[in-house]
Amino acid sequence: MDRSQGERIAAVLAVLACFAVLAWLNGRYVGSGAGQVATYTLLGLLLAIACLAGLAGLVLAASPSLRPAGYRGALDAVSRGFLIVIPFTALALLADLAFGWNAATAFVQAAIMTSGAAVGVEVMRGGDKKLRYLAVCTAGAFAFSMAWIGFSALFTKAAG
Amino acid sequence: METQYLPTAGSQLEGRGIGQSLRSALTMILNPAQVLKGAMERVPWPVSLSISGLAFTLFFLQTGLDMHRVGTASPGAAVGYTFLGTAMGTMGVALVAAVAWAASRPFGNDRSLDWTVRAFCLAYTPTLIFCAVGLMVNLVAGWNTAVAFGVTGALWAIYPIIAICREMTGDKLAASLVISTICGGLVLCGWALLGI
Repeated sequence: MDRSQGERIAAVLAVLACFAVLAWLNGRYVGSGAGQVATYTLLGLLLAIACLAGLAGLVLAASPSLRPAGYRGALDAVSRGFLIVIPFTALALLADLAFGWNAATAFVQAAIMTSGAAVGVEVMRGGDKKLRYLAVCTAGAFAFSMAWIGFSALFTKAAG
Repeated sequence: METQYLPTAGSQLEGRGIGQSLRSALTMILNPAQVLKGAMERVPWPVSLSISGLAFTLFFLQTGLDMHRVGTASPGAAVGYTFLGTAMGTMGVALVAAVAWAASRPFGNDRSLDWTVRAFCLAYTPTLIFCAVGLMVNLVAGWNTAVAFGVTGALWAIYPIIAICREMTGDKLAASLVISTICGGLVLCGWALLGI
């Protein structure tokens, strides 16, 4: 395994770990009891994986400069862009555990939307300088954040 | 010919200059790196300071209104919070910028403290937009908006702050994430200490 591949895997794992933590924080307010919180956390993580994979596909379809690198290159741009969920996760933990604020949803939404813009900037760094790539990535992130809101609403309804 | 800005020039907020400054401020929301590499030099410090100052003024005003609505703050205290917000958005943000500037020095930061403070103030453009909308919702609908709009707006500033840190650390992502987390934490702690 070369260094760049190791870094790529580390970036993906770091992003997924952050989403697991954010889902857990959010799940403490959406679900009741350890079972529901664990279920919400697992489903939230799966949703994040699906959305990140979908966003990578969208980025690949919209960005000609990434096509030589294929899906792996697109996933690399997405994982690098989404690394900025790390500060959001740390601050969400601070806000929730130290200050007792029920603001996990705000952290998740802001993290997803700003990460989408960061993915767009990563794509533009790769050669596609046009702003429409930024718009595509931001739109994809918006869909991701809407999916998270919908998932939380459905879970709340199902959990009763 | 480019418009030249001098800190003491009375006409610096006029005409094309203010248009460029506003465009730079709005670009800072989604593509901060573009502003930091170019147009940042043309944004005068009064504009930058006004953005973060007004953003936190509105943020803390909403905090005061929310607390007054639930009976935990008097009208006078709500006004007091507003002034605290102004101080936080100017002196507080400048202090946080100074922390980031000092923390990025070991990574080869060659940007000036003045540049860093102006960039950090401009990073709060999304906060200003969120807080302006939040204040309208607060006054018109009577909702408590300090967390939903204020905190969310403050969080949106983290993305430009990461871009600023990347610019100052020579694009070292890990260092930038750590420094921006510290900066975001200082702002949250400031709000928690002053606003609650």
